[in-house]
Amino acid sequence: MRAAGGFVAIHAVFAAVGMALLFALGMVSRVRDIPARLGPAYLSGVAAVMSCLVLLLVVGVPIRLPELALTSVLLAIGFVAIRLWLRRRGRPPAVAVLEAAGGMETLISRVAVAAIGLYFAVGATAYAKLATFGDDWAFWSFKGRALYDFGGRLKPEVFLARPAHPPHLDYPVLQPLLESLTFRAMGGVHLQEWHISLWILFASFVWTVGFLLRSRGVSMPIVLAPLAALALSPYASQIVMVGYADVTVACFVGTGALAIGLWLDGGRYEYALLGAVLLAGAANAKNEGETAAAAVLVGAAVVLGVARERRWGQWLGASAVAAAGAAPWILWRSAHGLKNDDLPSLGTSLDVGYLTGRLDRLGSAIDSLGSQLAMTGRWLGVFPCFLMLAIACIVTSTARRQATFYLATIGLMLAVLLWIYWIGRPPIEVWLAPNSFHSANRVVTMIVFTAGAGAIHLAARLLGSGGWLPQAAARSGSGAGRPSPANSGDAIRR
Amino acid sequence: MASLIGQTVGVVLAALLLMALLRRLGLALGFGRAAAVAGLVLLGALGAGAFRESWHALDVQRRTFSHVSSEGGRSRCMVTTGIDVHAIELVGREVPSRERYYFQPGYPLGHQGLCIRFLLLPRLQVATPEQTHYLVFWGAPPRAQLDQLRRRGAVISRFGFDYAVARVP
Repeated sequence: MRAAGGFVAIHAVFAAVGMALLFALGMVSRVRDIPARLGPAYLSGVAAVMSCLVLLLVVGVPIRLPELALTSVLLAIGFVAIRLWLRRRGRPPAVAVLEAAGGMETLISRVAVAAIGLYFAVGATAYAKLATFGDDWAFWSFKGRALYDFGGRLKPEVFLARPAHPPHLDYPVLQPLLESLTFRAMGGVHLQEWHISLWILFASFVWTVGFLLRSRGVSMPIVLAPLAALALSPYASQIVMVGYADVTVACFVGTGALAIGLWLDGGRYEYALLGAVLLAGAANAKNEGETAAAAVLVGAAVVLGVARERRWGQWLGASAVAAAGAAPWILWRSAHGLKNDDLPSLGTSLDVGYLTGRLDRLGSAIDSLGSQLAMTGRWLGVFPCFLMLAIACIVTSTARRQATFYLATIGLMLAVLLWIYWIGRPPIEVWLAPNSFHSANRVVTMIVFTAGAGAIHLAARLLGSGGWLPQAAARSGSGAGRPSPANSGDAIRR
Repeated sequence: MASLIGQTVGVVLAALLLMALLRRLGLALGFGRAAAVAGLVLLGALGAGAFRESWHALDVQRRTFSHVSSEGGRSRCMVTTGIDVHAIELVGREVPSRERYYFQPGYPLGHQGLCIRFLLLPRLQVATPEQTHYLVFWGAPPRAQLDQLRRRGAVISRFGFDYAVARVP
């Protein structure tokens, strides 16, 4: 009973802080809106609270339940105060009141939402008794247990000492820290039940993508079809089963990229800020999350530059939030000389002879990542459909910038992965083996989630669904706060 | 990579086909809208089609692990890496919780070493024997070394020929 109560309580704490964040951003304004925003609140709450806790952890503060409670309360109070201040200054909510369309569309949508909801709710019971697998015992849960057992501190014997350490000490610690706090809330080490938290994160990702797009007026049938493919993709549920952080990082990257994409599409600054918080979560979840967050922000900069939009101040603000969230772990890691043992020094990796001598690795990596992204049995055709929609946007000159943003972002993410595979020390087969949970199979998760979220955005633009701000208004930089179907506080009907 | 290109070309062709079909029916739909409709229909169909299979996969997962105990789940790596459960129990008994221990393998352990480290938490492995009172020998401990430790007053517990824990004063 204690364990179940603690499990519910810690998730409620994250959802409460996230709800306060959404309130500050003007994305929830009425009490009756709260149930529909629980998913995005939980995901953004985890990103916000855990990024702050990582900062405290690296400066030497032990992270246990009192520290979690205090940080959560302070953050929630701060977010509510920001909203009240903004309200006094007359800033309207960022998200319009959502009203359902009538008739058959509503019926179909409700049935689909109920089916996906049921899948996640019943599915959670399949994650309650799992064993601890592979990398989970080797370092994810290893670090989580170490944080739990040794007072919520980065015990040097585990996190610094060589050779007696778990592998990948350089990996950020959002997931292990979250795991240790879940253990504390549950009153003991519950390695089996911990997997349910990862499943909840995955469900929150699906919910957040739906919420963000609905908040811009995209109709439910357009949102639901790709969302069903993302939610039911067999490989995502398998990665959750093994307890690795690939789905965790993908949830933050996918939603962060979508929020930034919606900001670029004439959305209010609040979307960029929410995206930045989610990207900070991504950067704290896995090394790939750091480069993916940078890829999203660089992709946004490319679009702003090409379109000559004057929203650089907002871009800088969002980038600063993401960088502030990511910096503590990166600085701590650098200060202690922790680096990825799989990669050679910068000098070696830029050596022309070294690179040309292993061109075969690059070819294999391109082939392998392409094959993974095309695996319909694993990802239900999400990536090829995204590519087709991006091509359609560019060919028809509809939402070209948005297509460019997603293509640039995903292209950069892929480029970084290919670079790593090209220069890495281990034999390439270790990373590219197709029939297990090896690297290439898993790292594409964040690319698929980003492509899936982007696909819905692009499809909505191609079909003219949603209250998109005219490009001229967005370009002028005055889009923020300007009344429009998407930006006004009025109810919009779909 | 060829499969990705092939699939992308395939869905583009599907969109063009849809556009042509609708034009024949008197519905003029541009490529953009046709692509969006084709993409949504395809993803919706694949998602709906996967519902039953994914649900079933979760059922199988639930059944497969329904009898796994907390301890069995935690020590899964013992099975996959082939570690002697009794040896782990011996070390767990001899080295108190939260104590440091030095681990001396008799052969290269690879993943076994990681698993042992995980299973022995909350005991901490250290890099040198000088940092602890507990020395764990895994795999044929050298007799001369054990004798030397005994002469220094160490208390040695053995499990078979392969495992020993020495508590040095």
